Amino acid sequence: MSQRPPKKKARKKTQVNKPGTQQPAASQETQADAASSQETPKATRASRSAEQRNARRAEAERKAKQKKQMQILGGVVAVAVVIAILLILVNRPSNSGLDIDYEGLAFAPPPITLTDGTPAATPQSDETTTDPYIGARLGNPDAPVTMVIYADFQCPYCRLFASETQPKIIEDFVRPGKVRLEFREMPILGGSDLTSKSNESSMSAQAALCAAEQGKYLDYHDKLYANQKGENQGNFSEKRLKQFASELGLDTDAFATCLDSGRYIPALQQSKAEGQAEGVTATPMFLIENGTESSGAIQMTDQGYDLLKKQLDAAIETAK
Amino acid sequence: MTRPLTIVSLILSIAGIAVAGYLTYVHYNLGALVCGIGDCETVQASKYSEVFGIPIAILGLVAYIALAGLIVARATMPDYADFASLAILFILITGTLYYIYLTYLELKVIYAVCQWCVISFIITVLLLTVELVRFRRSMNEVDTGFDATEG
Repeated sequence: MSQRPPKKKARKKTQVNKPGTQQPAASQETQADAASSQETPKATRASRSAEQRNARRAEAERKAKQKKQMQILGGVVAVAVVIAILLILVNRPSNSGLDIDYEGLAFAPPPITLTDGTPAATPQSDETTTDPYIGARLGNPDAPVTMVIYADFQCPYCRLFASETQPKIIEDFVRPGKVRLEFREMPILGGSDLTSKSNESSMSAQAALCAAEQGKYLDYHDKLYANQKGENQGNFSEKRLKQFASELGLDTDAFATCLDSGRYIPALQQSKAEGQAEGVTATPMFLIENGTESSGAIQMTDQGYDLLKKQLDAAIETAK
Repeated sequence: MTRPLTIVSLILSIAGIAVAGYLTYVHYNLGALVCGIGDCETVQASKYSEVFGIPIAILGLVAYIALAGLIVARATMPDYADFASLAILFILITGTLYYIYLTYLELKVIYAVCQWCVISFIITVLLLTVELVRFRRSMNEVDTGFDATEG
């Protein structure tokens, strides 16, 4: 606003300097202003030198205005840079883990029987390795409700569930002993060939089961999600999976032997086939079971936790 | 010759409103949050899609609406034209810098590119180009009768 008066002045001067310039109708008013300021046409010499003075002043004003505009633009750029940096700082990537608190919760490794007949992980005394696939379980073994989670470690929504929704379920349902979580493997995003070393969905699930042999299924599970980046582009390569094991303090030789053997591929095929038979067509999907009935395969929706909470509450209610 | 530029700016800002509006809709209507059926909507579901709990799509929508408002205000209220031009440049420069970062996130962190986000980025860069051309002209026009053609 404060720049406006000098601009008008500049316009008047240019009109005087270039009488031949055609002026649009809109500026006739200002032309009249200019005319009224030179009511004495006889004093031409005086007015000419005044014009020259004015022209010089106008030129100086123009320069000053240009300089001022550049300064203002510089200020605008500076403030824009600061705000952009602030926006970036509040939303930058972090490589921290999921930081989920499992302290004090009961955990059972997946009781998988290997093809040679030996149990992969030590089953709990009250259970035998069974026909249907049973995954790692978290929480009270006597909980009235089991929530089965079918997930793929490469799936961004599985990560979202693991990092955002699952901690809420743990606090509200698992810790009070009302729900037990069971983690089943649903490696779908790496393709249908689970034996391929380049199928990173299969490899990461195998790696999690190898970590389970050393009692670290959940740590490895969280490590995978925390390091999730894109699908099938080497992020869960054999080398990186072994590196994760080392970072988690696992026995790296035993882990490498396990991963190299591919001994969990049949278990994954079983988990996947059973999931598909239950109607699990995508990941993550869940089964909420209370001993008498199963919800069937359900999805996480944009209603987020609320919908799952309702379904868990209902299952607990009918289990009583 | 700023009038055609005004029209171009206005069209771009309205296109921006449409794209950001669509992205806002998608952010709140992801439907089933699953992978394996169609697109994962990875970018919109990522934790980077919000800042201070506000979806970035909404930030974009508000910015484009402000731009459209300022472009109209500049064309209809000459007294505020200089201020409006600077405010427009400010929003566009901030937006362009932030978009560079967001595109980096898509390529290097989320490993998924959201095509509508890229279109919005292009709209912002085009708008910035138009506005810089206009700013440059307005500075030159100081020498030749500043707003002889400005309505």
